[in-house]
Amino acid sequence: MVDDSDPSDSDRARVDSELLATLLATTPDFVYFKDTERRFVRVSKTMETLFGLPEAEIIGKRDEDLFPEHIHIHSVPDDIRVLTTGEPIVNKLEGGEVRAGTQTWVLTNKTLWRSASGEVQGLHGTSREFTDLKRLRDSERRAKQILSQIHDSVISVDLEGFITSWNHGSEVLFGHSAEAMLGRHISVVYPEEDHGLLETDIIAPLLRQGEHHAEVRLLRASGDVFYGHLALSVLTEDGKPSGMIGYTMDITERVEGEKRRKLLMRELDHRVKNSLAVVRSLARQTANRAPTLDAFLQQFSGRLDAMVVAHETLAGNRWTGLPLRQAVSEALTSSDGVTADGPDVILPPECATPLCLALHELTTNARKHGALQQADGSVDLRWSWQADEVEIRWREHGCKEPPSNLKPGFGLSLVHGLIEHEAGGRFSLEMTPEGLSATIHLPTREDRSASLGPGAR
Amino acid sequence: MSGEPQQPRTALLVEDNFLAALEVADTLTDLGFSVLGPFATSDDALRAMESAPRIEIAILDVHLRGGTCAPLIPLLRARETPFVLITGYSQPDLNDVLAGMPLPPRLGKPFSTRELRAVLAELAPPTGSRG
Repeated sequence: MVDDSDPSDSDRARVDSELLATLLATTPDFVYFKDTERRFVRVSKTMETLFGLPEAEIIGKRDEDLFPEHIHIHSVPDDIRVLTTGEPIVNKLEGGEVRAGTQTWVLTNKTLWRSASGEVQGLHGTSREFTDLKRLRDSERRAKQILSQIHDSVISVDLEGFITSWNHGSEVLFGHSAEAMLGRHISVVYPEEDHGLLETDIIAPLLRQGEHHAEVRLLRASGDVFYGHLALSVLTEDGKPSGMIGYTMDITERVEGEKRRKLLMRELDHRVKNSLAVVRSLARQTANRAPTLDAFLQQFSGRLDAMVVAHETLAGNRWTGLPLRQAVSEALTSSDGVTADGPDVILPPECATPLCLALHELTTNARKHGALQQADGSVDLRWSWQADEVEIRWREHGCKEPPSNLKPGFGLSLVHGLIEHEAGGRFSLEMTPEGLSATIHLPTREDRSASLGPGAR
Repeated sequence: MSGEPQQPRTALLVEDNFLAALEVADTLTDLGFSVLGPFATSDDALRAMESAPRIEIAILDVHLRGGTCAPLIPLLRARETPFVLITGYSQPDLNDVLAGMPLPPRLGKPFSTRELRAVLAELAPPTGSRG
């Protein structure tokens, strides 16, 4: 300080000095003056507390003498910059662990300190404690980061339902980008027929209760509908609702699975009951005509086996249809003397039992009374497309003494009924000099008359 | 059945499963019914009903080849013909088929001949027993 020996000046200098002392003693900020060599000249009381040292022990020291390296590695170049360029440092966030276990973050301003005559004396700095604010800012950033990086969809809307945030999980789930969705109404992800429901079943109960869970149908950008579970909360600001936030989980697989399971259970129940009714009838019908118990057991189990083949072949094709070639080879596994050939044909499921029983009865009949009873007898089994039908021809060859009159037994009349009644087909028998000849026509669901594929005739 | 020879009573049988139909047809014949059917589709059954003067009772399988027995029900109700449904499905599924129509008596598959006889005796009692 320069004393011009003017009494008013010296008074002012005294006041200034008092003001400075007051400022340094009472400011909550870190205030300091450094000389051109970056040595502390004066520091505020807060600096004494920060370092745990009296001012006298701070003065004359530089940042590198007082701060840990991870702090002074940044602050020293800043001091040098201010001193050499004269450019101030404005609101720079700096700090960290100043002393073991204590985090101190500050917003720092540094400016050049000039004398009244304009000569550079050093620099002046003020750092305002920012630790709590920094923590808040960090937690906000972390929350944002978590929100953007979790795989689940989190969406927030304002009280009117307009989208205020749309995280990455939502982009993946719905196929809409955040950019496209911010500011749009949340109803765009609901099928149009559910828009009323959105108001009454979702938004209204949510605002009433503060929290709400719901299972809803939702729309993807592609237009596909999926099932979502929503966990929703009202956002509050100063105790007043300010918006809504929701977590959406895709539960389509679960919902579809439940539907499928219910349908399957119902279908299974129905099939089992039907099968039991059929078996009961088969047993009675067979018993009514069987001369002995042994004959009954043999006929009944043979017919039951044929029904098992029908069931297994159908089940192997997920009940969608009966591949004729596969059914024939399964039904005739133990029948030497039968040659079978024909194109690949899938028959409707209701043809399965009639066809497998037909093959069983024809084979049994041929073994007992027909071609397969004789050493050089044989059967030719061929099938072909006839417009929207499949014609299956069973021709017995090499019968030395074919019965002159045709009197089909119960087995073959059963086949007749099954083919005509149950499968909606036609069944005819004919006696030729070579042996029995049977023709089965079965309806299919495709019409091959227009396009004659390979194997068609 | 003793006494004067009677005109046999007619029972309509609609069941697409041939073996199940045989069983019911046998029971109906045993009870003295003349069996109209069995028919595997409701179309076939409708055609037969049009030319049948009188049907005492109808036995209908719910699920038929290519559909259900639902198209037959209004005509049966109009003619006041008693009928019984036979099905492997449970009641909620029948409501779909009947679309709000009152639920008629039904026999759940598989049923015994005795159960069938009991239902027939109730819905179409032998004329002799009517006093």
